Amino acid sequence: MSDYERTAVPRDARRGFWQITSVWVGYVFILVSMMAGAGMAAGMSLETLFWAILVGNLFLTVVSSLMSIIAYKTGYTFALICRFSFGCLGAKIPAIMYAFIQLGWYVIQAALFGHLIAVYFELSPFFEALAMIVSCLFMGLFALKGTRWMSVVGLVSIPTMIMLCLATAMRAIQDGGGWAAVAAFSGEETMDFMTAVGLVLGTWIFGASTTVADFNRFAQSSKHVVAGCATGLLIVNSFIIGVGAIVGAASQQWDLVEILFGLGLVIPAFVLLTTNLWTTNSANLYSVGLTLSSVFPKTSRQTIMIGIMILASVLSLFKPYEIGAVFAMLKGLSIIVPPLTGIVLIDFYFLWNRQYPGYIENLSFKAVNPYAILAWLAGIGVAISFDIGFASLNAMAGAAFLYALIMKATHLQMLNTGSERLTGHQKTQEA
Amino acid sequence: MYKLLALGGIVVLSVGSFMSCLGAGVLATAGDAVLLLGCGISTWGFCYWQPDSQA
Repeated sequence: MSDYERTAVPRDARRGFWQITSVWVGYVFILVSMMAGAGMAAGMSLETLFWAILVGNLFLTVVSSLMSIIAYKTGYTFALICRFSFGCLGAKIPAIMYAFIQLGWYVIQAALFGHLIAVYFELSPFFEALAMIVSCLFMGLFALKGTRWMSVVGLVSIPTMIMLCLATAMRAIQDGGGWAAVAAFSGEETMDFMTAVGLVLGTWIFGASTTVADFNRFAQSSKHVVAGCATGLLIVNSFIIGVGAIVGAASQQWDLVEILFGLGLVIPAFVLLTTNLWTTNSANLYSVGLTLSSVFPKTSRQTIMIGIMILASVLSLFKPYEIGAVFAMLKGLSIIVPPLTGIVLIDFYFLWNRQYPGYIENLSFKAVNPYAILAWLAGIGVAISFDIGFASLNAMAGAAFLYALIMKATHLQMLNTGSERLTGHQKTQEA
Repeated sequence: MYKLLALGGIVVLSVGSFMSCLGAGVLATAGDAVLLLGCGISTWGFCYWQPDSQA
């Protein structure tokens, strides 16, 4: 789905529900979410955790639906949508942030694969570090060379993961003394409900705010958009985190590799981690390369990707597969990303009255909107300063409110004079 | 033909997953083999047929 990067997707290029949803579901299916579920189960009761998963994914579904409706109505990518609030140069900030977030996931997943090899072959810390570096470089080589095989293995990995997740959960329950014993398990109560919701939000808040819009701009109706978001987040993401929580509660540990090996599931562990980590990680690196090459057009994609592979190899030495590092990243994402989403949502639904101008290729934008950047930083500050309610929601609402207030007070227009008149008769129409 | 391999491979890998995870001893080892076989068949099928294609 890389067509129409700089223009709106026309009506005759829109695609059916399953074509879009299957891609989106494949994207959501990542093992780090399962690992997060296992980690959270160690810190709270399973019942409270299930409520946190439900609330977190409900919030993600609402955010992704609102963002996707903008993409569906306009046909624009997230990067293009950001131009209306951040300006044409300012819109590059979310693109750079996207690249760094993807790099974070790349390092975590490559290190996890190296850790799998180290645990199986009982390697010393030195050789474990070497295994993680080799994983980073080897996964990167596939991203550099091939994209076609990634889609093939991607199609195989979704059913494989679903079946192996179900079978692993059943086996963990069996070994844990049955469902009653697992359900009665309560962690050390070191994590509260709000923190758990924040971690659930962290798993997909960036994807729900940005990537989902890029998929759903191809949708044929707003019903498809909402149903697709609910399928990907409320059902699939809840399923993955929930399975992780059950397996973690039954095994009473968070390390997915140790859990699977502890259950004697050596081949399933290798199949599960290879199909999932390998494919999503190659796609991650490929995506980072594409994004950064659009931000730095004078540097070739290959050079950027090689640089990222080297950087990732160095970062993998910090053992990012450990649950503390994963939680730190999820917590960070859950307060950095929502203000950005809040600004984009308030800009479209309130300031532009749910109608961005069409034919974006004819529009001329101001370079940067400093108020949007200020509101974004203020939103992050609100999340850190206020210890009431959900930090993500506070950050989103704080940034949206401040942005709307400043924009109304200053009457700043992000379109240069003449653009609005030029395209005034070409307003985006809903199908 | 390739559509059959792709979808049939998914059925085989599903059976293999449950045998491998829930079985014990010989059954689990056989499950490992069936799982790998299913992944191989499915990959072969998807190399030539994909849901969007008409083949």
